Amino acid sequence: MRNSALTDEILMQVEQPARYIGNEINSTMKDKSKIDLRFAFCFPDVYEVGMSHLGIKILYEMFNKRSDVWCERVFSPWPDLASIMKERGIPLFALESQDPISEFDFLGITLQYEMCYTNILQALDLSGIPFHSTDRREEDPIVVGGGPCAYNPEPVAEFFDLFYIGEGEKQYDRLFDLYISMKKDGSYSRREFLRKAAAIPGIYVPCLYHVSYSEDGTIEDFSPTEDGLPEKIMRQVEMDMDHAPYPMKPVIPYVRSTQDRVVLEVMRGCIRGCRFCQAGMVYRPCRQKSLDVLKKYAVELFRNTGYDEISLSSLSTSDFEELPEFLDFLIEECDRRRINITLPSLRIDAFSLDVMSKVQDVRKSSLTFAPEAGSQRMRDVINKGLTTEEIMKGASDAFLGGWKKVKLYFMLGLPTETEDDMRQIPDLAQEIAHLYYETLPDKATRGGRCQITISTSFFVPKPFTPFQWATMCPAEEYLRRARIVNHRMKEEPNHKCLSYQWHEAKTTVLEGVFARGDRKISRVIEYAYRHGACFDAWNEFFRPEIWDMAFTACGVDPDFYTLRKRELDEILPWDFIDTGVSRRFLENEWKKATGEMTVTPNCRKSCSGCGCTRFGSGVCVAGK
Amino acid sequence: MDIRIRFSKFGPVKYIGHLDLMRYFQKALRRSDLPITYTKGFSPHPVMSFAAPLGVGITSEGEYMDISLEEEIEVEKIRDILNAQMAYGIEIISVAKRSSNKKAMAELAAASYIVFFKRINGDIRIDKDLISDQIDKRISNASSLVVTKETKKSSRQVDLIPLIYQISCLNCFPVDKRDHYLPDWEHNGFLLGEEDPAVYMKVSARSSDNLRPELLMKTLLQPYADEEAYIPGIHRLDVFREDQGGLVSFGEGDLSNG
Repeated sequence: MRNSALTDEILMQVEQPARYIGNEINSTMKDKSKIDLRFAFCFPDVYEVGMSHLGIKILYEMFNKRSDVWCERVFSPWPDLASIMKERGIPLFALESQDPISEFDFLGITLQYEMCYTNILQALDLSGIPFHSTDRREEDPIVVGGGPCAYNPEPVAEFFDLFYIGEGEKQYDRLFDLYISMKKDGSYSRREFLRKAAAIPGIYVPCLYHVSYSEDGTIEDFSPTEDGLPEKIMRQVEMDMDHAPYPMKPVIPYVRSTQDRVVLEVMRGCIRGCRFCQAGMVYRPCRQKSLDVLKKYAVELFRNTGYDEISLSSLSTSDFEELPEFLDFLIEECDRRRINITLPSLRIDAFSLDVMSKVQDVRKSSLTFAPEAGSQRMRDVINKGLTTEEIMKGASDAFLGGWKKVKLYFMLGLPTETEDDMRQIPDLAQEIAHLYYETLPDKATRGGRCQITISTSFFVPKPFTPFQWATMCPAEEYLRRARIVNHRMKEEPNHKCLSYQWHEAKTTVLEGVFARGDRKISRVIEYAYRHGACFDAWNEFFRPEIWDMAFTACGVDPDFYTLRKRELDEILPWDFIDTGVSRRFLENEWKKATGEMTVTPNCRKSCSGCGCTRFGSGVCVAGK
Repeated sequence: MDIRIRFSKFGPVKYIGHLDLMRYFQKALRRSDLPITYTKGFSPHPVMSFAAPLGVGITSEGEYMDISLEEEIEVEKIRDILNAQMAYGIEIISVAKRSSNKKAMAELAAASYIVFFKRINGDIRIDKDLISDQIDKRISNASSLVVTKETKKSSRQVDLIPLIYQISCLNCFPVDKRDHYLPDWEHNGFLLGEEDPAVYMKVSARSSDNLRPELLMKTLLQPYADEEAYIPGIHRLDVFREDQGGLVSFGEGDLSNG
């Protein structure tokens, strides 16, 4: 038995001590004396959130298949424990071995959302690793970043030794082989390893690239500091979804995690070209798993986990072509095994309603529509490809099927948005409420009022989307728009059936700064962390006053990143990354959204020439 | 086929709460592929009943869970199948057939524990003499031992003597138990040597008047050592049901007559 990193006395005084003990079913234990490379995989948020993430499961199992590598997990200690660790000098540890992170060869940190950036510094701080790559000693672990936020790594670039751009399945083996061989033949030094790693496709070593700025604060030049380094970093793409590694024995947490169920990825990428959506662009092309593989995986996962629920994962499960056949199989298999099926992100139509009525209790469950915008005009601008008629048809079918609760998701602050667009958000909800009473005119049979919940988030422009050039609004303006929606909602004839909730505006603005920030942002993050900011993704811990202070103290103007108009010829901080989607395509889409107001067909209808055909996979080659 | 499963809980899993432990067993039962009886309804789960929830941080070798199977299977085979699905620290000690349909929890009458110590402040020494002396004076030869039990709403006076069935200071620390169930206690600085003091107690565990071992320990030692001076470590040995006026282990006796 290995000993815990934390004493009984500490574990007894923190919330949910089971977060820190490791020892879960399917966690991997190895003999560290027989290992060449120890990898600490960190999800910089609390255990329950991190353990729900599919990417970490894929890479954990893939890394641990290698006999010379031992991959362990690390999460952010919750604030109650973090303050004890800080006070008593207890180093951050990995769950499996309970060993300090400083003993590892690599610390890999996945960047799933911008608001976790201070948690990265907390992980480094508690591990005793210097914040800046350039300050690190030979014996410090190599700090590697990946995940969606790595598509603009610049705000945190100085905190990482290298970034992996793209899907982890492709190049980690090469990176590990390089490290192990350099350690074995004695040629290893931190600097030399990073130089050699920079030659591996998809690897970006920030300290080997130099940025210079113009007087107006925009980027003047971004280039490698040495000959032979790639000018552009290519996103890595897994082409063979059926043979790609997939976690068949995922770690089963003791505490209830956010995704406390089997998660089966059916498809990667999305055929829709929603212009606000980063995932829809950076995971192109859309690639499906085959039916036989999915059936086999589902059964094996049930046997290996004992979960009583399964959820299908993809960006738009309705677009998975073999969904009807796969669901027929699952419904039968799950009924036999007494397993629940949860179906996220389905388009509401006759098919999905039929399936949902089979797998859930209609009276209790609510239906979710994500029109994203209230007016048809606005939905065309974002290329949502969903018409009011389709929404109304879906809602009416749902009411006939017995559903009464409807959730509607929208964004406020989209490019070109007018007050009329804002008011059409509650108007659409009103129309749906009205439809309920039209569809079910008989008071006795309908059994009560319908409940329509409107939810708005504020739009944040993301790199590698057509909206990467969009300007944002000041926090007060977002709240004004939310008030317009709220005010209008209260005037609707069926307002008693409607409710409205909106997001925090200050978080949105900060997320906007991070999303399109440059290297100058890193000192703001560092300042904020040193003055107490952490767990910014959690409303109860987010302290906007620290961030206001940090921007002032560092002389960085947040408005430069959010409110400034970007010209098409500006060098953007993330332009050195090549995701496969061409800049020309994004520019055209931006022009179509804001000028011509035309929509772009989905990838199955016709190819719009985004550039991803060069990967020779998925929807780009299907049926050709 | 109705069965009663005895299991242990020690090492890091002592930090798993009761609800999480139930979910752990639900998954383990599904993985085992045993023909478990499920509840009816929209989200069926294995029919299971636990004897006595164990507090977080306490170890045990006397936990019981009742489940039912749709087929007859040899109990040794069930034990082995389940053990193949266990995490370190949770061991299926034994499996027995039961014909009673009484819920395990409803039968609960008493629990036995062994309590040991970790010193924090050096001044006060908790030794065997002190403990034996306290047991003699305040329990064995006393008519009442009244404490004030604080609840969220009120506080009430409770006499502990009727709730104590047995209590004694151990002559020699049970080393075999230490090596198997208590290694992490020792790592955390608890004194588990042969000569170190330890208390055995069998006390009421009925839901109406459950006596927590830490309360009894605190009451006994209070005049000599405040809570700052030591921490008690608690290991549950077994739980008991009432049978013809006596106390019988959940795992023993004729389960069919329970």
